[in-house]
Amino acid sequence: MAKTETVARSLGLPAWTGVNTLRKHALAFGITALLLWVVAAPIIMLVLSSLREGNFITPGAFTLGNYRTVYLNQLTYPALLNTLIYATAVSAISLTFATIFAWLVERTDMPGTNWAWTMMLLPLAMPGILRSMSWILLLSPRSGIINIYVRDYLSLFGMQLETGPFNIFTLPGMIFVEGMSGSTTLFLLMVGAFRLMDPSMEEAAKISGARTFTTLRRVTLGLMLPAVLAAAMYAFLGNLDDFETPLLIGLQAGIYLLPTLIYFTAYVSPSYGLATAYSSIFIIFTIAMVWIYYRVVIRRSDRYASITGKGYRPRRLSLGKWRWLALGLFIAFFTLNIIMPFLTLLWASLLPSYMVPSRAALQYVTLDNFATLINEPSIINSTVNTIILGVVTATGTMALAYMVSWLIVRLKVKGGLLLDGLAFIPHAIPTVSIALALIVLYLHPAVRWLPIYGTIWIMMLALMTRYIAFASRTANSAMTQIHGELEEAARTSGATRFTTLMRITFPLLLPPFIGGWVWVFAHTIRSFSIPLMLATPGNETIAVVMYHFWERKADFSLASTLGVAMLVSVGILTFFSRRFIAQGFTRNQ
Amino acid sequence: MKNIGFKVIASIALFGCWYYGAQALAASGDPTSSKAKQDPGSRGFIFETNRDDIVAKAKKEGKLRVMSSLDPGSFKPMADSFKKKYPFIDVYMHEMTGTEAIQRFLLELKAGTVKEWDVGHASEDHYNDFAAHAMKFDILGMAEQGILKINPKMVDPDNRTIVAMASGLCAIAYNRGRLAPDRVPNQLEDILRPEFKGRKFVVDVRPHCMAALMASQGEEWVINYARKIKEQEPVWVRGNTRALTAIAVGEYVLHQLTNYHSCVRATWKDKSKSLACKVIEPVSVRIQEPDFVLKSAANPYAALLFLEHHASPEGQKILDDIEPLKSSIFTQGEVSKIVQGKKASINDFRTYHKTPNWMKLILEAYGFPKAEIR
Repeated sequence: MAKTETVARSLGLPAWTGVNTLRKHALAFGITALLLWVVAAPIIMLVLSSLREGNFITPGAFTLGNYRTVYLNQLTYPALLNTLIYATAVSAISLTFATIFAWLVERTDMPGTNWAWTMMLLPLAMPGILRSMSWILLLSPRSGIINIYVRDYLSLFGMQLETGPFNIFTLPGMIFVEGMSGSTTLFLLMVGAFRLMDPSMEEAAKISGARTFTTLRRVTLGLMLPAVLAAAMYAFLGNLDDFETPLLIGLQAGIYLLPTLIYFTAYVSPSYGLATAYSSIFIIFTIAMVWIYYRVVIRRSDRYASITGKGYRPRRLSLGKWRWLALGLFIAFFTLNIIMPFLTLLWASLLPSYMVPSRAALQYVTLDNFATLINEPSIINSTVNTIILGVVTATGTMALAYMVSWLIVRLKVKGGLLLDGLAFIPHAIPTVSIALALIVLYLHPAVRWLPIYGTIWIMMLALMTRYIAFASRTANSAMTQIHGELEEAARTSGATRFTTLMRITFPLLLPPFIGGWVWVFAHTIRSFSIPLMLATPGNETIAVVMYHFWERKADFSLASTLGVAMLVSVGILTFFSRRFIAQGFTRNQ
Repeated sequence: MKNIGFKVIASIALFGCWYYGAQALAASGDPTSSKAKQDPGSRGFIFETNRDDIVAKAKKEGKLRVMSSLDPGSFKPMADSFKKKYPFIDVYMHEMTGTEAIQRFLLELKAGTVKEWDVGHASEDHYNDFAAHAMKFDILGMAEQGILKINPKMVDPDNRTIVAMASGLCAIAYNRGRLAPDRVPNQLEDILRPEFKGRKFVVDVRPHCMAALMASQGEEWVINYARKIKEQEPVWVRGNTRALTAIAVGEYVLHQLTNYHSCVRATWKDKSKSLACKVIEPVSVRIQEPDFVLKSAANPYAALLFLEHHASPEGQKILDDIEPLKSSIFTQGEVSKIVQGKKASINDFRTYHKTPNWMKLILEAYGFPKAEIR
């Protein structure tokens, strides 16, 4: 070792260029190279595109004009302010629900936690566009189902209303729809950490006389800071560039957010350079958030480790008489979050075209839409492709995220902040930019020989880029819960690094890994833009069928039928995965 | 002997002249075709002078791969009817639609990786970029000379290689239950009546239909009209699925201008019979489905025959029956029958390239993009 480094020095090179040093850090280099392979192309493409005139297809000269236009545009700041208000409110609602339910499901004796776990995951299967549409049909001022029933009820008391009383086409309406649906993702980001938390500190607080709420606030949430902060930053950034609700509900409400401005810039009057320059605003927020997270959590990760060599006994807190109230709260949330939108979609799927539910409409109920779906020529092929894509993407994304997190949190490698930033920045890159960047890269003559373009692998890479931010947040928050003592003890007892990883670290991280896996899988199968852009003949996914029903046929009933089928499929999957996670949990105990 | 020898040589020479002359004449078809070949506009283009030659070459190719933006429901009937005419050509059609797929296909064309397709689709957003990848068949010249049975008006006169197979007709959509027959607009200006002010009707922020009006009404008229529409305080929407469902259930009374074929298809499934579509004047029509033979096509002659078939009455009937109602305005299909006798604004190849800019102007008149603190 010394010899090679001496040789390196004699050549005027730094010592680290020595072969053994390279070998020592080979894993770190390898993981970093893998991460760069996944995220570098879209990031570079985004930066280059924002500095050029024209568009991705026919790029023009280099310019700073796009940035000038964005930052000097009078519309940017009102739109940004609206977006900040929207994103903060939505994140707060999602985070509150997610924290409460992660705690109830994992740390308390609330009845039916297994079922609750499964139900929390169901919203993942519902494409955002169908969810927003369902809520429009439920809460439209005139024809919304809830409004019609409430008006009928009020008329019994002599109150005659023509519209309302609820109106989805308002800022609170938008916040409500997104706040509810966003809670599932945040639940998954936190639930692993809640599960891994050692309850001895909660018990100590109780013994010291602290009440349940005080224990939750002062001890549990304190220990959960890495997970809560990771979830909060993920939610905030995700909501900043949320697109479906601002376009579907916000446009009608006359509420214009930054994504709406980008939509008009990039799609209606195509100017991709300008659109990507707008994305720089999101990237600034992303870098700031990553920096805060790194300073507060990663650098002091030992402080939050609750699984140490001293003992680890996950135990549930008894809620006493409150456990049924907790269950009631969960059922109310679940009804609003999933049952009502699902029933709306189910109703729409049973009709030739959507009608407000009534006795008269019952005569038109039919299973024709399901028959159409089954007879769709590409349905079997696209379903198989979607499942394969979901499995490989979820596995690849989670594996990479855990490797990166291991470097950052456990090995605390130099440049950890940069690595964490690289893993998180793609969250702020528009999906279309990711897909275009990969097309340009893999069509380049220098790399065209790689069997990636025109296969399912290019979709996998694009989706990995899209979801690595979520996966790395899950991995970071779970990794910070486990103290290095356990691994050190195993190494001291003679276990190899690999044995330690497989026998100690991985089993402890398995539950949050599977939670994250399910999230990435569900998002992959409902993902729309990337498969639509990258699927070539023969490897189309369900997204192409959905596009066909929604955009080409303009048929809400058929699109709903596909939504129902996806929801039921993911429901079954999550139910079984819940059992799997439960087994992992028991083994840990 | 000398005389006999001379006569034999002269006879052979005469026979030769007659034989090769006849061959040359047969190859040139009718004399007008060769005249078209000399058309300065078609210089550098491939011009087939005889339809039989096209068929013979297509027969040799034996197969055809089409990248189409039609509804996949039309593929089987279109392929079947083509196969009926040309049983020796094996046809495969694949859907290419949506901004995303179109961008990908264009990047593939630019990278030179497209080898497996013969017919491509030129989207309006990147029309000139696509046109650069068309095989230089003088389709316009061949259509004008009757070698290909395509109405020349369906062919782009500038590049001579792209054929617009369909038309997009625009109409109002309304809820019968909420709009009495006597209040249904008959012309675009009727939507400006005070009774429609204040979130009574929806307007799509992707203004294809409005842009087509500029072709005959002029930019100034349409921009003024767009400003007046904005003053009516409409409900801004994007996409037909959302808008037509909202009108069918009575949330809104009226859609200012939507795709007629989408509206008609929605009425077919609307059991409540509340949704109705009406074509009002000036009728907004735009060319659609501009298709071309790819420069890299392995089966270019089969592709030519496919374009011709697509433009034929059988092909157009499929567009009318299945899409539905999307036949070319320049054929005897349903769209031209609907428009007949009405004042129409047709955004055809003469103005098609202006569409993106027109849409931008209309959006500005609508007041987009906008942002105000709420």
